Amino acid sequence: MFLALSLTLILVGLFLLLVLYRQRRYFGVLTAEKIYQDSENTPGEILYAKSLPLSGKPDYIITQGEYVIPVEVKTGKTPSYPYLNHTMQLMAYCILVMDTYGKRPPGGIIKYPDKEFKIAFTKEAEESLVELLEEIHVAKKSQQEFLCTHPQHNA
Amino acid sequence: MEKSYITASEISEFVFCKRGWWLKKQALLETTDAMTAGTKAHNSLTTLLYQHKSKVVGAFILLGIGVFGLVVTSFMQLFF
Repeated sequence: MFLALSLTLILVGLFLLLVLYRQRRYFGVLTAEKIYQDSENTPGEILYAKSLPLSGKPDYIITQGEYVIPVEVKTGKTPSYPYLNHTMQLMAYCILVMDTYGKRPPGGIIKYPDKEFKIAFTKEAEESLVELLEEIHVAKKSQQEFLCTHPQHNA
Repeated sequence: MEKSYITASEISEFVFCKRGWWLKKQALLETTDAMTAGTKAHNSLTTLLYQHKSKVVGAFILLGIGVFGLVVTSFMQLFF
């Protein structure tokens, strides 16, 4: 009887592990070791850049080998290519990770519901972000009302 | 540049739609439905991740008990 019970437990355990292994694909990169996460139950601390007026809270920061990589989770429709605004947000997190952990990340990951995109953190991307920060800074100081190329947004 | 911090999510809003960013700055737009839905989905994903981890641990415990039981049973059959 004990033998049958033990064998049943082993079979159930193996079956569950198999099912869970298949579910793992849904979580993708999030099953990696996390050193930071920002959620309702475990809110992450705000990260600040040292050289730029930039702050933020990435969804997750994972480690892959010697690298520290920010992960941004996005909901909604999965695009064929990552949206520019999401990419720039991710580049901002790369700077925050670099300044917080003292290591330049090779890039970051945007996780949409059906696909993950690995985006390289290049010098060009960093420069674009610095220019964008300058533009936002100027926009914040000005009293200019912004109009949009999307007509419905101007109502 | 002065040290008035710009948040990473603000960058995303600014790039996506300058007017949306501007309206939010004017406090005319507190939160959008998309943002609320996104936060909710993010939190449920984190909960699912925790549950997944617990299930994996549970499966390993079951497997461990099963293997232990098998070893003990085999041992008893051999010697008793």
